[in-house]
Amino acid sequence: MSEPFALNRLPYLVVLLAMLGTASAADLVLAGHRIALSATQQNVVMDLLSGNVTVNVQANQGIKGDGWCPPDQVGSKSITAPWVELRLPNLSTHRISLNGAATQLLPNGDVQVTPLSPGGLQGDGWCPPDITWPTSLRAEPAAVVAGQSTLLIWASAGAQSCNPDGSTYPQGVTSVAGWTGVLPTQSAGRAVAPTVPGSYTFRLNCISSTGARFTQSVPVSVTAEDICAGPHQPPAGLTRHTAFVNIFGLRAIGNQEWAANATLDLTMWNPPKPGQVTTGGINRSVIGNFARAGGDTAAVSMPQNGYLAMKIETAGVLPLAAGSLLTEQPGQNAAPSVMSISRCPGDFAPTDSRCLSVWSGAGGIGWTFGSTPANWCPMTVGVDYYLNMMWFQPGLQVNGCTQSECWWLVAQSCGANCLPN
Amino acid sequence: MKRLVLALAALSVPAVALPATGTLWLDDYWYTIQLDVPMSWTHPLTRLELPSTAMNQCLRANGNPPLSGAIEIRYGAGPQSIFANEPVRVAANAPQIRIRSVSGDLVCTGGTLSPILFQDGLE
Repeated sequence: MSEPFALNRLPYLVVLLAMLGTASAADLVLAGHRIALSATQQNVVMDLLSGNVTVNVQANQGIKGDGWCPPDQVGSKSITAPWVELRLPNLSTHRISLNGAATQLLPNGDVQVTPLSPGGLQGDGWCPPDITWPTSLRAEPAAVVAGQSTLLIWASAGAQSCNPDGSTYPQGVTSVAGWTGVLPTQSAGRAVAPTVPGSYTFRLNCISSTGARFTQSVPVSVTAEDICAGPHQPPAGLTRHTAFVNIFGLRAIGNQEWAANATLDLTMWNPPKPGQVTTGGINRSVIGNFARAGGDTAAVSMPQNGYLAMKIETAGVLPLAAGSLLTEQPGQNAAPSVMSISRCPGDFAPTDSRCLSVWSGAGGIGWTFGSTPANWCPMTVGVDYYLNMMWFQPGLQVNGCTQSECWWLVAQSCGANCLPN
Repeated sequence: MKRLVLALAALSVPAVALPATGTLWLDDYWYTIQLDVPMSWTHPLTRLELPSTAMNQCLRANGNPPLSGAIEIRYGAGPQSIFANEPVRVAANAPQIRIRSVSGDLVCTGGTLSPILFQDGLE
């Protein structure tokens, strides 16, 4: 080599030597896996009392599939001392539990430690996740009334597909429309409308290209639909009438089986209010038994601005049972009335018009548990209903009762598939 | 009489926590080493800074200074240095540090000859 040749290349040699001098050749060696130590923060600290080792590393995270970071295992691990603490350039840290008896400082600068586990997990703070969540799964609103919809919102990045597997619903609910099959990897608002009250957990699993599954979930509370709201509420200004006194005149019409001046209940038809017994010692409602053989005629007194709502519990009623309610005006204290059978007390706008006897001097409702005739009010065994009555004419604000109290004359009977009386 | 006074004075000195100590094995001898201060390893220089230790003035058995090697272990005042070509083994559960010098025959003041039975305790 001639002298000019060497002089020409001297600057390059200096640069090369400088690069070699600053490059870090040392690694943290974890059970055969290597993590490059920082070239600038060169100090490794070993606490012999705890066994903890603190190293500064070059990268902020590992590389999926590098031997330490698995391609398909996700999660985090509990950390116990002793550990090696990786101090990352971004100033965060990550710890890996060690066997504290097996740390070695090697002649090439490597720090060799023995981890307790053979590798990390995706998303554990060192190993990068396949999938990230720019927008975590959330529900707006998180509480709805049954039948109303809530919007599920999320955005994943790096996912190839998503699904709702593992979502949990109230007993008897196996799926929710809109939350089945393949789901998009992001949604600005996917509407779902649970129809059954209870606690729902909508789970979203998004699958990466490596098959790793990343999951998020959000709870949604669904309360029962208030079927008695709005038009099914008792008319404003009326008061529920819950009992009346069986005065002499009412006994003359049809209440002879009840003691004079007895207070008779108007809240329960079936079962009758406990303790309310006839002079013959039978516990029953003033209008007789519901869905049992035979029938009854009764006279009821109710104030002008009252309404009555007699509960009908139908558990135990025979299938295909059917019967009728007929009302007419007595000879005194008469008034036209409106009558309904509804799941709501004081509801004079039942959803099914067959369950309404319109305002008139004489009317009736047939009720049926699945038998003919088809134009009678359909009822379902096990569901609670109310027999409602008032003097007021819905809509027209006309009160048919022109006195402080009027009398309601009602006859009811069970005509088919009746329980024995 | 003077000794009795000194003994009483020593007894009246408030008790202080003794520093935590471990064992440093170097060739055929062991030395106590204090553990209150962590050890520092500078990896580009392959240099280990030992905490305070009873080990001092290490020389080869023939009286020569320690041979140089891949790993420099600094200790004591100065500091002084010894060298190793084999990995330095660190065990926190003892705790112990195991060093085999380049020549394998270093003897320092402040040490105790290791029984052969325990020389491989770190294996």
